[in-house]
Amino acid sequence: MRKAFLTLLVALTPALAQFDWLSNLDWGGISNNLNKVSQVLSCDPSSLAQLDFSQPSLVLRGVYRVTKCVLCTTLKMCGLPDDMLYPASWGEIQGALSRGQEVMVVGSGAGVEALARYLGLILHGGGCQNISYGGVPIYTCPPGGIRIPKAYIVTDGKTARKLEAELKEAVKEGLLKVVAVGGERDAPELSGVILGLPILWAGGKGYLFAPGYSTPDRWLWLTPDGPVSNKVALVMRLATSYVVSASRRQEEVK
Amino acid sequence: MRRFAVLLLGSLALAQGPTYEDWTKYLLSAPDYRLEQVLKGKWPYLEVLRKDRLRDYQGGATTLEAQAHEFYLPLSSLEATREVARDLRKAWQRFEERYYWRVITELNNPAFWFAYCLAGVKGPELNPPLPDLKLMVPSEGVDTAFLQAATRSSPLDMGRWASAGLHKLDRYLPVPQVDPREFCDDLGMQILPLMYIPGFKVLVQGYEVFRTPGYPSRPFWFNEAEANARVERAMQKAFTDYYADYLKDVAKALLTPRPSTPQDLLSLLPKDFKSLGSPKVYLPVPWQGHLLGAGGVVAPVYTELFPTDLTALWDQVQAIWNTYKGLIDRAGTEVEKAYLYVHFYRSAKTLFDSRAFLGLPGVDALKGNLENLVNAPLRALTGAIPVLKGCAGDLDRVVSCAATALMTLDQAVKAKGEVEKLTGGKPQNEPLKAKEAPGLWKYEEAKRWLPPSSLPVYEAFGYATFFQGTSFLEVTTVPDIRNVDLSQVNLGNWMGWAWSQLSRLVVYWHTPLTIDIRVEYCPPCVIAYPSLPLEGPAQPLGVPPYVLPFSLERTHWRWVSVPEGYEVPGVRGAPYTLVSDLSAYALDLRALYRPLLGR
Repeated sequence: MRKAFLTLLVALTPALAQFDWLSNLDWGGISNNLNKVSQVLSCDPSSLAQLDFSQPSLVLRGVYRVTKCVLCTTLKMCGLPDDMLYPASWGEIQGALSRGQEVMVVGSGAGVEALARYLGLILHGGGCQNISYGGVPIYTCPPGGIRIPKAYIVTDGKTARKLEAELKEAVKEGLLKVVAVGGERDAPELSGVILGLPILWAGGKGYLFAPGYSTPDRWLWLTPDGPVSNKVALVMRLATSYVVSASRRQEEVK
Repeated sequence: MRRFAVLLLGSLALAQGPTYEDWTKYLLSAPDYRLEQVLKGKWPYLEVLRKDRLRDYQGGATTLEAQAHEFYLPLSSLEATREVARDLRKAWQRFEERYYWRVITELNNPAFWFAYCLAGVKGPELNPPLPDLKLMVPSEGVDTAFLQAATRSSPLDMGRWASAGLHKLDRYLPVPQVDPREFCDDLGMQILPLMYIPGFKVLVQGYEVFRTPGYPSRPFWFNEAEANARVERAMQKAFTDYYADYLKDVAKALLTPRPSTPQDLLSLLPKDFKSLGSPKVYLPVPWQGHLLGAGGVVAPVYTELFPTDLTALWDQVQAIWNTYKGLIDRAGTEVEKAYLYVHFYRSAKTLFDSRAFLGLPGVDALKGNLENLVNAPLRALTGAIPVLKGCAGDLDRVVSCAATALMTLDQAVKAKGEVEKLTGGKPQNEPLKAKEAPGLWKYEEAKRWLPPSSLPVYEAFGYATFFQGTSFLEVTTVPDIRNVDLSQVNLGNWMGWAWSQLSRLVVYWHTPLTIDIRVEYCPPCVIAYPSLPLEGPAQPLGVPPYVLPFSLERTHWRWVSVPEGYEVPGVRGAPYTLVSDLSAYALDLRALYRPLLGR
């Protein structure tokens, strides 16, 4: 009996510890919470009301900053990194593209179109060309050339059809596969479902294409760092295999 | 000058009218809602057409493809499709729980292994509520001319995917809501390697003299390599096994008819009008299947077979009227407002005159209500528009006269005749009838905003609502970081969001220590003993990736209404076909439905 009780106690400890952690929050009390409130206020939660929603990556960053600060002050969970995503230079992206691995772009909107056009150009020998995004010339000619065996673009039906027509040559040669999400015709409503910011998966790393993260001439790309990056890579590798089978399915339907 | 040119171009674009012949392909046509057939043991169904194949067929093509241009889709009940939607949610919730708890249990092995895998600590079962019906009007299925006209003055609410934002748990609890066996498979107790050396502080006579850096939130030393390896192993497991189970659950929920044998289905059919009710049945039709790159799974739905409650029926007719009026007020001209009255009256009259209602007490009152609704405003318009001036007499005669007059006007518009004279100076640039679109196109397009209903209402108003399921590739986190509406973050929605996020952080729980050194009278000696610190017995330490990433396909669902003779949105390929990846679920549904439909 005593043995069983002991086993139970040992077994329950971690769960109880979690409850203890949660119970520190003092969900119902007032006086004790005043202290907490002042701690939370030191994290400047009012900044949430001043976010610039035209720049989604800044919104994400702002929300993360407040959440991280609140976590640290109220729950003493302070080990989180300064930021989840760090800026990556255009040179780094070009380096990733020249690593000779498959490339995938997921998302919808003008960013995906700009990226796809760039990929279309470099895949099908369009030569050196600068493409502008929002009036800012962001793409330069890759210095060491670019080696991409195949590129996949997953986007909404409308953008997919547009890109397939625009990048006919690369698609015909089988270098570029455009996978449409949703029905046969355009589905702009998808942008509410697919993450608005496009993701570029290249050279074993994921990059978030984030116009407006800062001034466009400084950086436009965000990427996870270190051990986070490995985990993202694990998921993205799997995603690529699913997209490959989706593109095969698309052929089957045709 | 330039502004003028832009205006001119704009008005030209508006005057172009609808272009159905260019883009429609999957058409809803010829439904069979006859209730007397239902009473004879035939399931109600509707027919859809592949327009391109039909054209080939009419052109004399004899290929198998051209012959397979029409398909029969049995109707399901709305309630049953909501249950399917719930199962889709539940499948997601199961995956979400298994994913997180596998990672956290493997990372915190052996402590959590003892708690969950051995002792089986577990919260309440997942039990998502029935998802609400939310109608969506996919702009992909509406002609641009109508959309432009309807959104000219102000943006229009087109609804969202009913599933948007629902891929989450209903409650984020600090205990798993699935059976621990679901995520403890192949997981043994693991004591070595050592995960951490606890952080500590040293007290002498109650006064603190030393604490390790970062105490109490950081341990003195943490085995980061092992923590990373554990998380990665667990994620691998979740994505190879648990995600595959999610796909299986989804395919099963979407593609299995409920009930699944013809006998059970037929036994649900009533034998007389009074007991028609709304048999709870889900009869899916794969349109290539729901997987990414394939297409969708659809099921046309009814709320009930026959509306027995006449008060509710009148409320419904009035709701239809309000939706209609709102849309035609936005998108229609003065003349088109007149035909709204004409055709609404005709449809509603057809409904109340249908044989099913014959002799039912209270139907006459409904007819009276309808006359009251339409009479005065329609007569006011017939007085104001010259082409309708001759229309007089009782309401039925006014209506049929107005319908004929409007067709005269339509011909004048198409022949670019003296339209102004007929409309009394009111502009009418677009035709009332469009090529390859039955009925009056604006009136028909507005039906996409009508809610699911009973068979007689569908029949009289000429539309049907479909349930659709399909997969998208989503790059996000678990729980979905986007579940806070980024267009308006406030303290209220941030709190809920932050709670869901922080209760699912990837953390390692470690225990800091206090080493208390005291001089005691025992006879005088120094005693040092470790104890749990006041800061709490266990401290969370974030481990990369902190939040769980997800970038695979997830299945979404929605309800859309389709006018008869118009495009079914969100599909491609042909009904009753499945991509090869779904062949494991390939019940021959056509064979199952054939005895039900009689064709």
